[in-house]
Order: sequence, then C-alpha cells, then structure tokens
Amino acid sequence: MNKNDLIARIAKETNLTQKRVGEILDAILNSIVEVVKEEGSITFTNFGKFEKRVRKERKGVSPKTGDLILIPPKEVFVFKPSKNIF
Amino acid sequence: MDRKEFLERVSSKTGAELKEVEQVFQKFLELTTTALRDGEKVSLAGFGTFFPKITKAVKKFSAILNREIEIPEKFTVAFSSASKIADEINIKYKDEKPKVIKEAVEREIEKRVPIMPPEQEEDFSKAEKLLEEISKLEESEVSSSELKSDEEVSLSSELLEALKETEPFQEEKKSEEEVPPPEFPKQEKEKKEVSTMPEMNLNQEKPKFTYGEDLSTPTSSGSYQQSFPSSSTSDAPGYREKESSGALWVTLIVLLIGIIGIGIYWAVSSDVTETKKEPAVTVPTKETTPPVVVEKKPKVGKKEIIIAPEEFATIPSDTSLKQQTPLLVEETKKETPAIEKKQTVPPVQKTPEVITEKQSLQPTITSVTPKKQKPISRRVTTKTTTVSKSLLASTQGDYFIQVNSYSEKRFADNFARELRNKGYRAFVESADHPNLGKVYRVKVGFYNDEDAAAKDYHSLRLILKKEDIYVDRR
Repeated sequence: MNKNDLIARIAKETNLTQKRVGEILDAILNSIVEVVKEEGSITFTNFGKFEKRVRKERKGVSPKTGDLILIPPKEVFVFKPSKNIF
Repeated sequence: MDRKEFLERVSSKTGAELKEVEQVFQKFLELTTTALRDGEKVSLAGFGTFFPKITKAVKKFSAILNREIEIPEKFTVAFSSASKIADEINIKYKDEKPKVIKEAVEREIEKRVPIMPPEQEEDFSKAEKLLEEISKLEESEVSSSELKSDEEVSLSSELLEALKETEPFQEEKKSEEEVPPPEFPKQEKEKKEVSTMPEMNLNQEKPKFTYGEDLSTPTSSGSYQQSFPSSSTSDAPGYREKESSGALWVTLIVLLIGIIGIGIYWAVSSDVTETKKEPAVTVPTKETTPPVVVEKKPKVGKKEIIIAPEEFATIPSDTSLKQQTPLLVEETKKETPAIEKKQTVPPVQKTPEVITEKQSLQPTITSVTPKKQKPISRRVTTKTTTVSKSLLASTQGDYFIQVNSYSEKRFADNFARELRNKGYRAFVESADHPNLGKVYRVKVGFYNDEDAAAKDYHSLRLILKKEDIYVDRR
C-alpha cells in the first residue's frame, strides 16, 4: 500500500476530497518529523513511538578501498511499534 | 507532546478543522495497522516504510526456571525512514565523516598473523630458521664441522641442548657469555601464547620450539646461536655419534615435518570440531604422529619400537639411543612442567618423539597423515547420507508436486537440496523434452492422496513465490 492508496481509502471513509486528505496527511507526517526533531520523540497510543536515536560510532571496512574506517555517530529516525499493534 | 497538542499543531499548519484532522489521523492509524496485520507493507513517500516482520523463534536458557524456554515467533512492525528524513534528523553529527584508521595494505599484513594457523607458521619458520642457522654457524669461529653436524643433523637434539642451556647450563652461559638467559623464558611464553593447541607440545614440537624462538626474536637468536657451541661441545658424546649420520637425516626430517604439518593443517582446517571430539586421535595431530606410527609398526615387523611412552626410556633400541635415552628423560622431566603449563600429557611422552623421529621412515609417517583425513571425510559423508535418507522421496503414493525444471543437473540438485533443507521430500527426475532436450525436473513427493499434496503445494507456492507449480499424478 502506498500513499495514494492510503489517501484514496481515507477519503472514501471520511467523505473528504482526496486532495484535502492528501494535504492533511502530508501535514501529519511532516509534523511528526518536526516534533521528533524538536522534542526527540512522539508517542501514539496503540500505534507506536517515533523517536530520534543516536547510532554509536563504530569500526567498519570501506567497501571501496578496503581501509579500516571509523564510521561516525549518527542520529536516526526510528519507529518502535506498540505492543498492541498486532 | 500528547495527541491533542499534535493534532492542533497539524490543523494550524494546514488551516483545516481540528475535527477533519482528527478523522484523517484516526483513519491513517487504523488503515496502516490493518494493512500491516494483513501482511502488507505501507510505504509513504517522503516519510518511510512500515513493513510487517516476523521474528524467529528462539530458545533461551532461563536462569530462574533453570531450564530452556522457547520464545515463540512474534509479529512486529519494522520501519525504515526515507533517506530525506534520515538526513533531516541527523543534525548533530551532520558534518562528521568516516576516518581512515588503517590503510588496507597494513591491515592485511596484520591479519595474516592471527589467521595463519600455528602449524603453518612453524613450517614457514623452519625454512627460515635453517637458513639462519647455517649462516650463523658459518660466521661463528667455533669448530664448524662438528657444530654443523650437531645442529643440522638432529633437530631434536638441538632442542635438548636448548633445554640444557636453560637450566643446568645457565650458569655456564652467564660466565662464558653475556647472553641474557631471561630472554629465553620470555620467548617461551610467547610461544605458549601462540600455540593454543595442546598438540604443539608433543613430539615434534621440540624442533619447532627452537624455530619459533629464532623467528620471534631474530636479534636475540643470534646471540643464542653463538652461545650454542659452548653447550654443544660440553654435551655428551652420544649426540655426536648420532649426528654423524649426516645432513641427510636433517633434510629428511625437515621434509617429513613439513609434509606432516601440511597434512595436519588440512585435517584440522577441514574439521575443527572433529578434532575436539576425539582428543585421543587429534591431540597428536602434528606431533603425535610418531607415537601412532610406533604403535602401528609392530604389524610391519619392528617389535623393538612398540613402546608405551612411559616405558620407552628403559627399552633399548639403538646403540646410540641407549646412551641418550636416560639423559633425555631426566631433562624433559625437569623442564616440561616449567615450560609447558598447558600440557596435560605426561612429560615422559616427549622422549619417544626423539627416537621415533630418527628411526621413523618416510613411508610410515606419510602414511599416517592420510589415515587421519580419511575418518573425517567418512563421517561427513555419513552425516549427509543420514540427512538425505530421512528426506528421500517416499515411493508410496501416486501424487507429486512438480516444482521446477532445469537444463543442468547441478542446478536441479542444488534446488532439490534447498527444498530438502526446508523439510520437503524433493528429488530430481530427468526427462527428455521435445524442444529443450534433456531436462531435470525437481519434484516433491510422493503423496498418497491429493489433499496431502495440496497442503505442501500451497506452502511451496508461498515460500517460493512461484505460480507455475502444480500437483500431478504419475
């Protein structure tokens, strides 16, 4: 299921136009990212938690040159599903 | 931030009513969860992809219950964020770039040390050591003829001499030369570390010993070599008698050791687990080979050599050996505990190696190595056969599932093996196709009735994601 399918189905069930639903859905997704960026995490009950985590720096091998390299730490966007999602 | 605040934020952003936003949001959550539950993934462009995931069932040991518990497989949701968002989120460490710790070439050299098995290393070192020895001997002004014969001829005797130097002759050393004896133990320690395997300590290890030292510390080895003559001159006359047999022996022994080392390396590398299982057979690997040889020789006819390691010292074998054996036993007994802590084998066992090495003929030793390898291969084959037997196609029933067909047998066999690993009774059947020529068909079966076949048919279709599978009757 991609975004268009989702929008179509939501529009059908809410009696809103697809355009409107699309705008709102985009706003929802964007604001999820924004909130996570600002506050670190946001939780939706019975769905899950979106959060920002730090991947530690680690050693790796460059596939290009074969050098042993130190991969720097990184902040990643993570979703942790609620136990009730299934 | 709670849900209400979040929705207000969204509504203010879009200018939509809060009610609308709430509806949409609610439906969004509902629809995504239902889709995920149905096993469908939900990909939202510019945000990320949710996809259902099944964790494997795991067995874990519970310390509380004191038994193994099985954690069943579980359905969860995995999420991978869109790369755009991943970049947006990663603010703090944005500018950090991977640093090169070590260049590729350097690392390979480093790697080689741990990767190379100890046996190989020593084989390698043997050659180098011999060269070094010879060159050093030539340099040293001490009577060259005797010394050369000493060191070249009997590898084992070298060790003995080395051993002598460490304990009884240490004092002499100090007085004669400034060579620091403490270095010796250090080298030994290094050796220990290198040789994690207990096999090392057995028979042939003596020659290795000296080699390892030379390799590890070339500078110190030079001094060590120079000190060597002094001890050798003071040695018992018995040695020289032996050594007079000439450089032929040396070369032969070196060759033998090399062959054995390679053979063992193959055996060990091919099946490490098996070596662990049977310590009696495997512990010897390299160096125990001589003992094995000794036991087998009797059949050939040499009864003198049939000796349990402990009895060995008392039994007369050769004229020259008679003189040496008592000496050897004493020395080895003294030193073994100090040098090899790890060694579980009684110290006396070392002595046989000396004799066996000298007496042992080429054919006998070489013949031992294949013997070791054979059982390994046998075991492997038996394992595979048992597995395949249990999954062999049952001859009962008329129904089978035609899964795939190949023009090359190896591909068909490979696919059938994969199916067998998954628990299906797969087999390969060859047939002549009017257009394609010889064709190898992979089938699963046979089944007594159609229902049984249909069960596997459905699961196969799911697993292989293949549509052109069908149930047929022979």
